[in-house]
Amino acid sequence: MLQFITHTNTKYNDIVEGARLALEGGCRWIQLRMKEASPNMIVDKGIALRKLCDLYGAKLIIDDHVELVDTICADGVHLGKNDMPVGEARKLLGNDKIIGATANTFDDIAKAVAAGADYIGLGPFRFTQTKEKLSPTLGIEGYRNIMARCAAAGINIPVVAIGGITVNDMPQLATTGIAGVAISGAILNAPDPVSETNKFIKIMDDKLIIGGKEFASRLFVGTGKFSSNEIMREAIIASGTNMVTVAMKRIDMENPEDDMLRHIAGRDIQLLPNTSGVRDAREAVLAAQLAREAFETDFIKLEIHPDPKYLLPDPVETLKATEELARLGFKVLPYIQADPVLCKRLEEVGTAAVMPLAAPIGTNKGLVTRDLLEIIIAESNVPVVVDAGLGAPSHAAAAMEMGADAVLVNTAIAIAGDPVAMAHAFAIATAAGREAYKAGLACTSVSAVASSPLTSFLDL
Amino acid sequence: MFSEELKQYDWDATTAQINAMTAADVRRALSSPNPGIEGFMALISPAAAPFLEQMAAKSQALTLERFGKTISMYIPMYITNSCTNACVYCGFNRHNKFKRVVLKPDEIENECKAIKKLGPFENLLIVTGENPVVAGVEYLSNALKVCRKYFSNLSIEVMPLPTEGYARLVEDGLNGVVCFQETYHRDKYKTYHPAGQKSDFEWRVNGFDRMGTAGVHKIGMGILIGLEDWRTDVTMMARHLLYLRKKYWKTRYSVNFPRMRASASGYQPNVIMTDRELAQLTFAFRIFDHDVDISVSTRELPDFRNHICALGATSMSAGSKTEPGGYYTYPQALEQFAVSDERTPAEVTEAIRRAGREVVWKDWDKVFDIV
Repeated sequence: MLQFITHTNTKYNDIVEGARLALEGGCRWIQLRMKEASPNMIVDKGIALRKLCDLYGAKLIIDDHVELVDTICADGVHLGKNDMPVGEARKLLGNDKIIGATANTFDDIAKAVAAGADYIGLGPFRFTQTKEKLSPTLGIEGYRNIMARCAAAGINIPVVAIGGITVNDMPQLATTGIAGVAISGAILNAPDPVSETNKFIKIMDDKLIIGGKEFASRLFVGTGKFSSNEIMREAIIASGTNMVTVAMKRIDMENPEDDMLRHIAGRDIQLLPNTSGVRDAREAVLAAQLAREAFETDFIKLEIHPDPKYLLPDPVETLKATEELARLGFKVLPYIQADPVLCKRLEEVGTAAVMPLAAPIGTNKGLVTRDLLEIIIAESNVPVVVDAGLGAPSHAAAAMEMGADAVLVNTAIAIAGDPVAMAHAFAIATAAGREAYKAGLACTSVSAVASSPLTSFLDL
Repeated sequence: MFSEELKQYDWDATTAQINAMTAADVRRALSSPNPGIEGFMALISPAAAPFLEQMAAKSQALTLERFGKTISMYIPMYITNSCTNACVYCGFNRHNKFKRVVLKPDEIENECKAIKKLGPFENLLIVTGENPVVAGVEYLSNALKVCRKYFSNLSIEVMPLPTEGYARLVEDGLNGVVCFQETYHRDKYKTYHPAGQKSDFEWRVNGFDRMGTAGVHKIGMGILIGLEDWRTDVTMMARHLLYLRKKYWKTRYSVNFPRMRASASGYQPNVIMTDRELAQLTFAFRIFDHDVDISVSTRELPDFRNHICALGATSMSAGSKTEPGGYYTYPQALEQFAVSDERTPAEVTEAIRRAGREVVWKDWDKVFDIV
């Protein structure tokens, strides 16, 4: 979600023209902000903007002026801390209009949520000229902490970061759990506002989709091996993950208040039950059906490792079970050897993703299967999640640089000296690897060749 | 189906992207183990022209790694020039008035025997015009049965068929299908192919999906260089190849870069590709796809073929006749296009050996086709 906040600068002195550039660049959410203007001027520009937004299928909200929302036919209003209280605006506007509220702290968010806000503008990220009355800046750490507190409190309202954000901040910001950003100066001050807007959109659109569901974070986290459920919970929050695996054998599925589960539930997290413990396809299908009932999800991480020592997956049974589970409507993520042919066979029977191992599980050895993973990534039509054996953030970054769609880490986080800090380290390494992959890695230089022994036949 | 996938690639944007490539992009592509489609675009771009020698060296090394010092030999056999299409550049255009030939089984057999006398060919490429009534699946099926006795590997270059058509021919011992899309420019396609089944862009471009679905072992692709901007067209083809590789992963692929030759149509190419550019494209394709079979036909001159065989090409034809019955039955029938290399297979193979490459005639056995 990218919200463009209207403004003018020396180059663009008409706010409608400025908004048009953002819309052209792919932005679909405009906030009309004219701090010093009279209501008549705001209505004038607002009506022009409404027409423009309709042309692009974009939403239009008005800063502060609740009373002008209907006249302009706006989609809603954004309320600063000194504007009308959210609850009052809700009474006036009803439930169909969007109400956004500015917040600087966790307490602000909690208050706005209680009053019925639809989204939060959380900031400022850094010092900015746009806002005259300024609260303390938050920085990346501030967002991470506040988002963690929201998760802990079970608050999952969309949070939009605001305040002096530039494209370069985006990769890190995206790992904090925010839903979007609100941008003003960074767009119109850029040499090419249209392409600048597009850059923001592209970074935010870089979402992983598995089984029809979007995942902002490309780091999946496992829940075994932690010293306590509290540390596990904090590590999950610090990782920014949206996909958490749970061994169904560890959970008391009869008990909705199961201690481990209770510690995972929170913000935007997809539970991925795994079938660890089953030894063949028949047992796996039964286990998956139980997991579907208990966790109320079609997602299943298929783990069939009949050998209890190395926990190596059985490819024959895994293929059989994937076919059957896909037929039963499951979103299957099978844990497999880094076997490119097996990946294609799984694709043919309807797997949602493939999860090849980087090294034997729990070994922390890194990308031992690199050559085979490269082939899998090159040939796969489904997301490739590198699973097992990633022992350090640099391994996760390397897997992402190769073009993996995501990585799954458990042991390396759980048994680290400080699991919470390590979870954070994996989060930024995974994001960095993804950025590097998209940026196109520089390679070793090509040596110059003086003569042309191979191509001189073409000189004639 | 690829026609859907293709919609996401804008022709003009692709052209602009290729032309905007810089020397830095080319260096990056050359030093990357897997340059991908963007690297390919850099390597075929004008910016890569000064890097031809480095590209040749890399292409040569990659070809050696995967194929060794070998060149696979094949020969085409035209069995009919009857055609209901009106492709503006083709000698078989239905508006050209000349005697159309549809070889009968005993005539096809005579052609097989005549080819065997030219050299120990085992890879045969059976070629037709497009006339589903007189030379449809039934006719092709019979032709394959005749040819099987003489050759261990059979390919066809015919009109795109329905999936069942390909599947049936695979049962009859068909190994490969070659089909040139001619151009991926959807809007211009029809001006070159105004009539007949071939005027249907979607039917042709989705033919490759049908081949894959039917389990054809080897699929050959190509665009006709001389119609649209060749750089954009081969980029689209490279995208098509990536798509096919991921979807029909049990199939082998080959590419061919035919430059338009003079034909009875009298049509003049819109764009001319120089030998230097053809070499650049060949190297770029090898660097882009290490495993694809790159085929160089007798459309090209002897000197070019003598060199390219050691730099990236992996299969070649020799002694080709492009008229039906040309080896024995009707040595004077109208050819589809003029060949540039009229040397005998013995002369060609000798030249390939002098370039340090061993000629491979047989690389398949009928026994693999007994289901």
